[in-house]
Amino acid sequence: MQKAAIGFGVLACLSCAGFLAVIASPHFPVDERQKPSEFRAARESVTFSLLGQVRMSIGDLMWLKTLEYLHNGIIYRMPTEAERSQGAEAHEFTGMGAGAAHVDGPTLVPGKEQDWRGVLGTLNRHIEPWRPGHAQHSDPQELIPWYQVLVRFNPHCVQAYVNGAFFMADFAGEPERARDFLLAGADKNPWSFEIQATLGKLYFERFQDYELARDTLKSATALAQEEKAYLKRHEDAFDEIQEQLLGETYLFLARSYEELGDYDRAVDTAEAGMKAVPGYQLLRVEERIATRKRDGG
Amino acid sequence: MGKQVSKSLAIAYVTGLESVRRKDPYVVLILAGVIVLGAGLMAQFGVEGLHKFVKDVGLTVTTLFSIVICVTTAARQLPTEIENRTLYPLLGKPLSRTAFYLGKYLGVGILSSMVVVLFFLVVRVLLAILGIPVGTVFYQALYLRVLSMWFIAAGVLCLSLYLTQGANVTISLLACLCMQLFAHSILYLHDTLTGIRLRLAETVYWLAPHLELFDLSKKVIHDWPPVPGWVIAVMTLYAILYTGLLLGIGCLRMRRMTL
Repeated sequence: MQKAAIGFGVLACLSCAGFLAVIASPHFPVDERQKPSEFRAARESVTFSLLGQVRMSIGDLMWLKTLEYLHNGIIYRMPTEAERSQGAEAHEFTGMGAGAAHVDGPTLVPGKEQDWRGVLGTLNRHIEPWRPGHAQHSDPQELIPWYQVLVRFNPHCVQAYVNGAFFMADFAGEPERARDFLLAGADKNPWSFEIQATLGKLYFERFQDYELARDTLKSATALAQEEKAYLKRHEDAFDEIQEQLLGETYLFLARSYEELGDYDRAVDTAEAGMKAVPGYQLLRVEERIATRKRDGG
Repeated sequence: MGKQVSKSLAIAYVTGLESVRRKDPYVVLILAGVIVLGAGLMAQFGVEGLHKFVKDVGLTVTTLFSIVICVTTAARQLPTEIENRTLYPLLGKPLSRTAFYLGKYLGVGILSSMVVVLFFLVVRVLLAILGIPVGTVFYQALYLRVLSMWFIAAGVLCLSLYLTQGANVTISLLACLCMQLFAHSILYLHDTLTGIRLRLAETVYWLAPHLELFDLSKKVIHDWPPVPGWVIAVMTLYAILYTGLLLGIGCLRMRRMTL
């Protein structure tokens, strides 16, 4: 009887707490977006590398898992200050598209020449995945399930949708699955220009649906402007990958107009893109092509 | 000597029986079911041909569960016997404390090894059903995991003579699950240390029980070739030496402690 009363009391307390949470939550708006600087910190942090297996956020753990898969289980780290002073540098890796870009330093398990552990070091190099030299990457298809698990735990991890869709479309050859994945991501992150941009590119390249590509990419450019303003308010800015993606968004939007025969808008879009992302040279080429076509060249 | 050995074997047998009486096998079977469900996540995502994911989930869960079962089983042996006062009639018979202690160790070691073998068998069957091949390194991983169970059992049993059961379980689990983190931390920080700190870090590294060296799961997951036979031999020797040391300390403590 006493136990039943305690159980009932606990249930009543939980119900009250839930009810209060529902009433109070609208008054405590939480920004679920993850800023580029947060991603950079997560990817390059020493602490994150070391605490990989016990990190608090399961979503971040999944992110590390994707890197582990990409490196065939080998753990890489950033060079220490001492190593940097001796000329050691981390290598930027952009070989699989902008979304999967990351920095590879030396292996965490040192090579024979640098190792102070004698036989324990030798054993370690045999037991743990290790190979000398720069990082080599595995088949990115192996990463796909982790992106799928990651977005279950953290549906606001925009980069997971973008990367996952990239690998689904380009490596697994399944654009329909990539499209569905991105649409699910867009539903969860309506503010994300990255997802709209990737979706637009997918419609253009894989489905040759230029009207849908145009509409989606237009929406992406509008979202990008909002995102830039939002980041500016938070004293942040687009990172290199986002800048490149924004450049690609304008490029594919201009090409969509071109494919639809609307050369005036193609030229205007390329020019707007050059202003928004001055360093993205392909827009200059696109502007020339569209101008020539418009002028009947 | 022969009589003491047969008595140790009898204690090991009783330890196994007691575990069955406590319905431990049900726990193990439920956990094995969790392994299957975990790896079955793959089917949910409909990602065919992605072998690493299934192996990763299966082996991670296997490692975690087998360590937890080994630690909790080993940690409860001596405190339970003392608390229930079942130890006293046993020692009243012509049974040395050392034989009793080694019998308990043998029982825990065999039980934990059986659990590991069962879990690996479940993973192996699952992989076979899904058509995922495994190489020699899978069986090497099984061997090293079994070896680590004997190593862990010796450590936990030894600690149970010095710590309360709760403290023992906490410290042992932390040591088992965080040893890789500890080793990686020292590796990373080594270059930044100097003088006494450096010597201290190196000494601690050399003395610490390197349980992470018994984990070949990453090599299995990422389809690496088998490790050379001499590595397995050295790891066996390492486990024997460390286990012998821990058992020696445990036996000495057991013989001298006031019950």
